[in-house]
Amino acid sequence: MNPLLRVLVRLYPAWWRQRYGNEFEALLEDVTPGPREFLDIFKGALAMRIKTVGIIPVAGTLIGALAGGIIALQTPELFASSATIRLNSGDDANAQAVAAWLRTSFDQARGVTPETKAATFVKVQRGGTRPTTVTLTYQHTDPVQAQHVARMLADAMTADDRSRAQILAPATLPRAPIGRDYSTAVSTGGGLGFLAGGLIVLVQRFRRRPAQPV
Amino acid sequence: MTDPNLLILASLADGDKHGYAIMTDVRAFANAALGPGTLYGAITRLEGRGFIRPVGGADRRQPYRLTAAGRRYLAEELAGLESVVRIGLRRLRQA
Repeated sequence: MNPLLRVLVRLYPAWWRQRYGNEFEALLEDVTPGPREFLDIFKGALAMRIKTVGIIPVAGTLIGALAGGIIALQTPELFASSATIRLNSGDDANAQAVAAWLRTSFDQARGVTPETKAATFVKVQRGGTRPTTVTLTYQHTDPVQAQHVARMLADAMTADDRSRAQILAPATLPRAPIGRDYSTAVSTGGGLGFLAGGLIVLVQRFRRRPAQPV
Repeated sequence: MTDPNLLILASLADGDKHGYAIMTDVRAFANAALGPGTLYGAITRLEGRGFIRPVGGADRRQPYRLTAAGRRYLAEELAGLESVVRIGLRRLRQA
């Protein structure tokens, strides 16, 4: 079956897929899918969701996802600079030794604020016969600033003991921005919208409930 | 005529059919294209209202059968439509 059709079928509620999923997929194997069929199945899934949870949570999800997408579109694009450090210690395959080195060198790197450290991605690659490498990535709206921070961190982490750690690849100057994270923004917005919609439904049900006799 | 409920019931009026057979039959007798989502949305509703029911099929394709309640509902709806068509045509001729 077409992979997009498979994704669309998964949009239907679980109870519906349990009851009709098998025969619906058999039907889709007989049909030649085109844009009209894709849209029709999407509308069908949406209608079944509304039938299951009500219009308000579904509308909340769609509005939240749309808002998340708009917010992602309006956030400034980020540039990412990476620097790679190579560890020279004999026990570089030992995870505990690498973690201990990271603790001392990264956490105690001078001239770098805790906020900057918190915003830095650290990726450790321990590769058997190859030397262990640590890649530091820092993102900023200004590519020069991103490179400056990544370089400063790498320098600070290798300054104390160059026999143990050396800069393998200096901080790069990013030429193009990294893509915006639409999927996180849309899924977060959609999730929050669904929760808000569910909350509205709960409040409505609570208010409609007749008062208990005293 | 675009109501998928009535189109499906009318298609099942002459015998059991599975989803794809209903789609091709409706296209042939009503010149209407039922999409897979529309078809199964209507099948879900009609089964929920007791107008159709699944019957044993040979493979994954699930045939459906019109129930007595579905037959009554279809007859009432078609009688109403027939009345509208008759009056509409008469008025057109008189105009």
